[in-house]
Amino acid sequence: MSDYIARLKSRGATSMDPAKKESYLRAVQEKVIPAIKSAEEKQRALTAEARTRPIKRVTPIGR
Amino acid sequence: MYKWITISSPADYTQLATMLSAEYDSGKVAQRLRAGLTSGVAGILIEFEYVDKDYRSTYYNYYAKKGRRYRPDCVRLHLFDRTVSAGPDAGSLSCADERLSDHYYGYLVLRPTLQSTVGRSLLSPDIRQGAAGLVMRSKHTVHVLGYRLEVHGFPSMDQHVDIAVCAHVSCWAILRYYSQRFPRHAEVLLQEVVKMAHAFDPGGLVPSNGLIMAEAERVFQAAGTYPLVITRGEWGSFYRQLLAYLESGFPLFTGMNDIGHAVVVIGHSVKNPPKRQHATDPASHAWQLVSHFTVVDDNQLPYICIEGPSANESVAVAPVGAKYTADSFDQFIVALPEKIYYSAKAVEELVPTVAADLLGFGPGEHIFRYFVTTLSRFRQEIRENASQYKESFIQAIMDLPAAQFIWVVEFSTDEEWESGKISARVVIDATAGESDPNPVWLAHTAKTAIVFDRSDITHEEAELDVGTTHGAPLTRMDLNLRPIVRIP
Repeated sequence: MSDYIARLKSRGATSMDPAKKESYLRAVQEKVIPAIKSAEEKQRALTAEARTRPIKRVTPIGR
Repeated sequence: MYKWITISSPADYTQLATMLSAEYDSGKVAQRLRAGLTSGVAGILIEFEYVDKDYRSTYYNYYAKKGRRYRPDCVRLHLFDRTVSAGPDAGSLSCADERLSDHYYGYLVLRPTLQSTVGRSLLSPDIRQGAAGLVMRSKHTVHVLGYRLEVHGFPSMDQHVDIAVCAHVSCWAILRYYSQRFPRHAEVLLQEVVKMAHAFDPGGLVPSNGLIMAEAERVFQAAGTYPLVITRGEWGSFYRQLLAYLESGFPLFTGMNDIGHAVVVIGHSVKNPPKRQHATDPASHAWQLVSHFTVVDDNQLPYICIEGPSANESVAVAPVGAKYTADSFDQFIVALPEKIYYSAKAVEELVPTVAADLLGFGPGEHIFRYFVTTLSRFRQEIRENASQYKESFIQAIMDLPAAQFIWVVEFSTDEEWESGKISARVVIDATAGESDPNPVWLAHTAKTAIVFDRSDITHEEAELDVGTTHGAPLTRMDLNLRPIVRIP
């Protein structure tokens, strides 16, 4: 046990429900990480196309 | 030389036209100030022969090379409230409490360029007509008449038209904000921004052709930041990310392809969620509650409010002339510090799992918002609200072995949102990688907290009590934007 967790437990902290912890870690591995990778992939493709968009708005004279 | 103008009514701004020569286009400047500032401004000190570093950078590289003769110096207008008065020949200033800075609203530099003459300016948003909500501000020190004044605001200027357009000016404004706000960033002058955008030295007509997004990105890279470009794909996700980085205190270089324009988004105002028809209706997303964004647009005085995004793309509003809404935003650049590896998009994907598995919330029960802050700022906020927490929880936060940058996610019910309260908060490692098996350090409600020791491969954790008043909602954290206190 790390010093940090040991200190918390010495001050009255308890352990989390193991089933809840397992469910959370599995969901990150199986759902969240693939979703992030897929989203970042789509974003890279969108941005690659959009990097060449021109930005030039000249202030109208006499405004 | 200095001159003083007392502003008792909007018509008094016309005195500027008589006191300044035509090369400052002072008639138009007077019109803009009259329409754009509140009556909180009651006196203007005109500082003649002011040497402005940004104008000088363009003068050396452009105006001095032209056939028409341009002055090398500028005029600076300092704005004060009604308690300030000037001595003989405007050689001194006085106010009853002798705290001039408290009565100072900032300055505008006027360039002798005949048109688009408003140069480097630093105005308090508090005296801007129509400004409201929360905005980013940095502190600027001003020396005039031997006085040292301070003003908090966001830098702005008109585009030069011929050597710098909206994209250059938006890059400049963000980098000037960074150099004022964060000591590690050096000051970059306007002409340097123009050069940083290209691999070659851009002279002649090149700058007036504007930039492409990749060139704006290059400016931020050259300035020592780590820019991330986000392009609109899925409507809601784009505005969710935009709001997350904005609430993190990063001004956003925002492109609008339909009008070929770029502005800096620096703030927003949110509204209350609509009443849900049925108890099972999902909560609103925070981005749907943005009533307006505050932007710095080089075609106008700073801090203009533009309408927030429509519910979806099919009902998006097209711009009418120069008037646009957030529906026109389709790309933004956020100039990040190096040590942020976990993106807003990654947080967005992670939140439903954390809400369900660590906090026990059902899908769509809460409005959630998220932002980056530093661990030290987070600890400061916990300390300042210490009465809400048990001492053992506060100690757990102070001891938490975490990184410099963290994402904070806050969850509110509709009622809590309206009163600035939250049900729960999650702290995520902003230096985590996309594939991190557990980027969460802390998840807590008003009753209990789960703390992970992420240095351990087994993700050791502990569950502890949080509050002294069980069940009472916690106070929402607004760490990076400051409210505009409008001075009528």
